[in-house]
Amino acid sequence: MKSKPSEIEHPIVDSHAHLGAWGRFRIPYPDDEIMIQTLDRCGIAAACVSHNLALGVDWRAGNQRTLAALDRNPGRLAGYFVVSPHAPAAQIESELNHFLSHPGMCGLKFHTDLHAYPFSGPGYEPALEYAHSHRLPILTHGWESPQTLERTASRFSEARIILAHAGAVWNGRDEDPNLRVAKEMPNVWVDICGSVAYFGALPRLVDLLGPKKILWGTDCTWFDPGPALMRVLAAGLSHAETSMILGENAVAVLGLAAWLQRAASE
Amino acid sequence: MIGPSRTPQPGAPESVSDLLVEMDRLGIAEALVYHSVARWYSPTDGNAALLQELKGNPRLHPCWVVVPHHAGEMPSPADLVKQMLDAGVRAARVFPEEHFFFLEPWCFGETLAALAEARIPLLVDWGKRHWSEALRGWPAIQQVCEAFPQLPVIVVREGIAVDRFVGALIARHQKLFLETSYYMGHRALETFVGRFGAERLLFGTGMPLYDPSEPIGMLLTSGLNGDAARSIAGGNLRRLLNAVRPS
Repeated sequence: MKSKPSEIEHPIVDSHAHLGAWGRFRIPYPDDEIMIQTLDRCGIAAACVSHNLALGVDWRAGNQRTLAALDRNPGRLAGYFVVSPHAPAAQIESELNHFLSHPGMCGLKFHTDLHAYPFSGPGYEPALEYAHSHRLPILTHGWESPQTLERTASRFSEARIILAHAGAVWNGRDEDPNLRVAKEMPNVWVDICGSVAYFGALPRLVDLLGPKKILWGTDCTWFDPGPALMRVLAAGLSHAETSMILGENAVAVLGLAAWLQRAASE
Repeated sequence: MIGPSRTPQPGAPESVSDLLVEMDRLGIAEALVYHSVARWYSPTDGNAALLQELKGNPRLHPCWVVVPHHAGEMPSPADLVKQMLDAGVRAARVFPEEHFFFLEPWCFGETLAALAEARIPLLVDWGKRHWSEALRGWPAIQQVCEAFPQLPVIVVREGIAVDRFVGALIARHQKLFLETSYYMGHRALETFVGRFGAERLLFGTGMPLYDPSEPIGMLLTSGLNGDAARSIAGGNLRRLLNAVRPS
């Protein structure tokens, strides 16, 4: 192992995490209190969360719960506003204005699978316009196709699009057109959050995209962050690459520098 | 697993010497291994190759891939177990879905009985790639554990979606174990140990297909005390292998 958590000078930031229960299976520790203890145990400075209630059945109540968790954990939890593409445009805009005014809110979250809605559908347009005009990140789980992704990233060129799981599901061998888009488009990144990690895939991904295009995430509290952390630390990457992936990139792409600095000074 | 792969992962070890280098890098002392030829070509050819390639390596313990004997491609269960024990093989692995057979006693019962008699642990691999896949195989596991209570059964690559039923089976069957290479729910190890103790979990990596650092990270950051972590990391498997009855 080239780097240990204590040797990473830059704060470690989990760019893809969750709070809340889930219907399909039991999440034994779904709440922020234990999650913060887990972050401490792993040496993780901060995590960016979306609430499972918002991804599942009630986007407005779920986003409220995110906000409440941010208020309980300033400087430790940042939040994604989950967009429901099924809501009226005016309601989405109003909620965006309300939620994104919170200092701990770092971006938007789309989940095209759970919301059963295409990335290119009109229901996402108000949020894409908002992200474009406010230069906000969107963590999106699902983007339909590499062609749709490319068109969307071009049209909403100021939005910073993070492809959830794209760097984790890649097996390190096959050509993946989504990764090509991430490499070519200046406003597209991938995260390496995911339950399946293939042998040797991460160093290949770093070779393919360069370390600045890769954000680290854990899917905590679905999954434990320990495995995802060790995956990076034991990958044989340079100290600089490790530092970028585990924190620097998330801080840059999600615009967390001032938020972290303020929390550190309080 | 050792041997050539149909879809080799970048930098993944295939030979014994490469596997040992990777184990040294990760701090893994010993491993239970089967041969890729036994999984993807012929169990008997692969099992023979495994013995050849592991010869003289005390850190690598052979595990034979086993299928039912009815088709004539494997020795009778009694002969199979005798051959295993004579060759120092103290574990068996099955791929029921991949090898098109049923684990249930009506199909595999004679082999299961012979393995149980010798206390040879049976690793069951349903070929799962992702936790969200259907709950294949668990009714068969229940039947096998019920019918052969002395047979150590180790289910590999199970993920976060098993918690609603696996506890019922673990509580009911004292020789049922979970391998940890994909068991990575939030604080899953300590939660499991809190309910059932540390004796029923066996550390595994899934190498060379999967990244071994993840289950290592899971164990190292689990917050388990040293005794529990050591049991999972190797003590439990050593105990099972040492309990195999000589021929």
